Amino acid sequence: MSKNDIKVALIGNPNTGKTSLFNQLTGLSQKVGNYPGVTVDKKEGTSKLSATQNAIITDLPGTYSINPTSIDESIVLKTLLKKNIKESPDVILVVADVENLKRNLLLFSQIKDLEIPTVLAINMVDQMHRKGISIDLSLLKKELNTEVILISARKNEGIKEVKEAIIRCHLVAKASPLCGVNHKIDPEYFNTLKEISPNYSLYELWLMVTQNNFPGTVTKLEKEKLLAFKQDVSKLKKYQHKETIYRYQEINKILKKTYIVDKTKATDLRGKLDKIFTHKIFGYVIFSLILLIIFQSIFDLASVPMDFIDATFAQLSDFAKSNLPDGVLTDLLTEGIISGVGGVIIFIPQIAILFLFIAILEETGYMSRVVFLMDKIMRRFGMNGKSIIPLISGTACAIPAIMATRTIASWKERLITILVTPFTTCSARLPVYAILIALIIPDKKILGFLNLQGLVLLSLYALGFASAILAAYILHKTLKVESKSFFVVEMPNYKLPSIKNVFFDVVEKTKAFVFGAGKIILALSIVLWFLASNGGAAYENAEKVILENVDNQNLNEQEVQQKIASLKLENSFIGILGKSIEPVIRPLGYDWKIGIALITSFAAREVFVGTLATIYSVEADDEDTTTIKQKMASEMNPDTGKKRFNFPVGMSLMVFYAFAMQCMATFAIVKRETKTWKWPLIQLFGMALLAYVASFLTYQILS
Amino acid sequence: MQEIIVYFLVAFAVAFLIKKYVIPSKKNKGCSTDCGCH
Repeated sequence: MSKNDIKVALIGNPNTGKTSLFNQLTGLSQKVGNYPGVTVDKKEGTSKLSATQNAIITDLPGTYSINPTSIDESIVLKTLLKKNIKESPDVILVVADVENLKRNLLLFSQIKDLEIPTVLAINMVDQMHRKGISIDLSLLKKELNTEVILISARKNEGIKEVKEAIIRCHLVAKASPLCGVNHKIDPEYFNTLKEISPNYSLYELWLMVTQNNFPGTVTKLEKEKLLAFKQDVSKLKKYQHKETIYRYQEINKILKKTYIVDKTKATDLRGKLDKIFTHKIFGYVIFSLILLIIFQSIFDLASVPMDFIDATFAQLSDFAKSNLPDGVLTDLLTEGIISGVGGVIIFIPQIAILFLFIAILEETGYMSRVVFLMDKIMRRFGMNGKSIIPLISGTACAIPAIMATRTIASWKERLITILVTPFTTCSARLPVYAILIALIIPDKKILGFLNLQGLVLLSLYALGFASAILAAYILHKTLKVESKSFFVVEMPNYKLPSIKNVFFDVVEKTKAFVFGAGKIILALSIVLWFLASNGGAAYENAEKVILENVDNQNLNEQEVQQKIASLKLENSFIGILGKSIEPVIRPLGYDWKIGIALITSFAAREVFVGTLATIYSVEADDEDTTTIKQKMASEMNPDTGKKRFNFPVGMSLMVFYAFAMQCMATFAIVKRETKTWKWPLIQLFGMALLAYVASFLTYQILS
Repeated sequence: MQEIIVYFLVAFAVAFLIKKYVIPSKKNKGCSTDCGCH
């Protein structure tokens, strides 16, 4: 960052398109969504304003005012009150939604009173005509005493004008307040407050008193004087109410002259759609149908590309075996790396399809209707409507989902949502479910069009959601945490999904899955292969032991090689580890090889398939070129002589993964968000115990 | 030669996993969608 760069803070109500504007200004591709609460933390990027001038743009979480009610909103207040040269913004860029300008101007009026140079960007102006809205722009600029730009961030309109306005605004050393309402409330009281420090505007001092937020630059004496104002709490509350009323009176006066809505020109498609999507019966029916379509598509559309990827990796392994010189490196490549990495690449089609549907639902604005629809249900179970956003985004990954709980104002509801979100079926569970379903559930249609495998997958997602709700209810009844609860949700306009936004969202999330999980799986595949290809004396003597014992058994060469490989694996380092935990997992129907996959998949669930692929590849004879699915399907249980992955074992494993936390990154983020080890440890052991008991019962009942 | 490369790769993989899980980086502040995941 250069000394001459302008520091710009991007502020606005939730879902006004701040992140879309941030992406247009900086050329970055941060996640955007047509629902509130997408941004819960600060993001920074550089924008080239002119040939000689750059700006550092900070995208802040959406907030309705600078009186915060949740953690994400308090980030805005902290940023605005900062006075050190490095961090305090030079210019504030307020983003407002053209359709909700009155409500958006409340936040603008507060920011203007901080006397920081401010630009107002009125977004979504491409919809003005359809909504029957007209604005007298020059009069609005004059009345607000600020730069006002009409933009459409999605259509890249007005961005150049915003950049020019930032440069012009930066030249103003100190902006004048808009309302100066405090003097209208009680001149004497506020004059005394202003005398405390000449370094802050009156409104900054007022915010410090009302929000109990004192920047580090406030001296001890100043803080003591400010705290004295807090003693009369009822007076503070009364003045805060008066302030809001005065602000709205001022905004109404301005908008009456500058903002006209011609209802005869407006179409009310939104109202009609809202009635259907939030209907107490049809709303749930439509939501269930949408989910059914998504899970049917995951199996139906992905099967061809998945089979192609699986076969390609099998051929690649075969090609490497045939063309590379014999040796340990070739073995590592064919048995370890190709098998392990193939175990993650194969799931790209299914994961991309899931992300595609979620991105479309977010983009259209439907997700906010789901939030509204679910609020009644959620409240009964100790959460609120906003909890549905973490629970739905948890289908991609629990990490951003847990961060998204920052929009929930009540600590108790937030804590419950954090604790139950890992029950939601994340994309890392999808590979485990997909391979087990393919092994134990027949690929047939019910009623002629419903794929049975898709229905089972939908049931597992429903199980995850039901577990989250049930766990929330238990926590709601048992947790002794006091906190207030309220629910406000923005209902965004319906929009046709932007192909660009959907495309970037799917690509970014799929990339994060492949490269994030891929690196770990690659490293684990190498380590696993090493541990499976080395061992103590029993490992070294395996060949000799088998050759001595097979003389009378009439086995062909391939069967002998298979026996040697199996005994070697059993006596390898990884075999010894797996054997040591076998007594604990045997009641669940698992053998030591599955046990190894359970251990390694504690890092991340999707490692399960890659681990088994590596173990079975090491165990297979050299001529084996079968796919991962075929390898797992042909694995036999030596005790029963039947298939290892039969119906009871497959179901038991799916139930285990439905309940177990099995994700170190989630464990870490829960610790960060709750600021204690207590909750992540309770969550980890609670979920592990539940997983063990549930999969034990599943296996024992089904077998 | 193949053995040397294999030992190097195994050591590199172990170091990567230790860095990822035992000594995690503290640089993940201000992230949004999938940081820290997996």
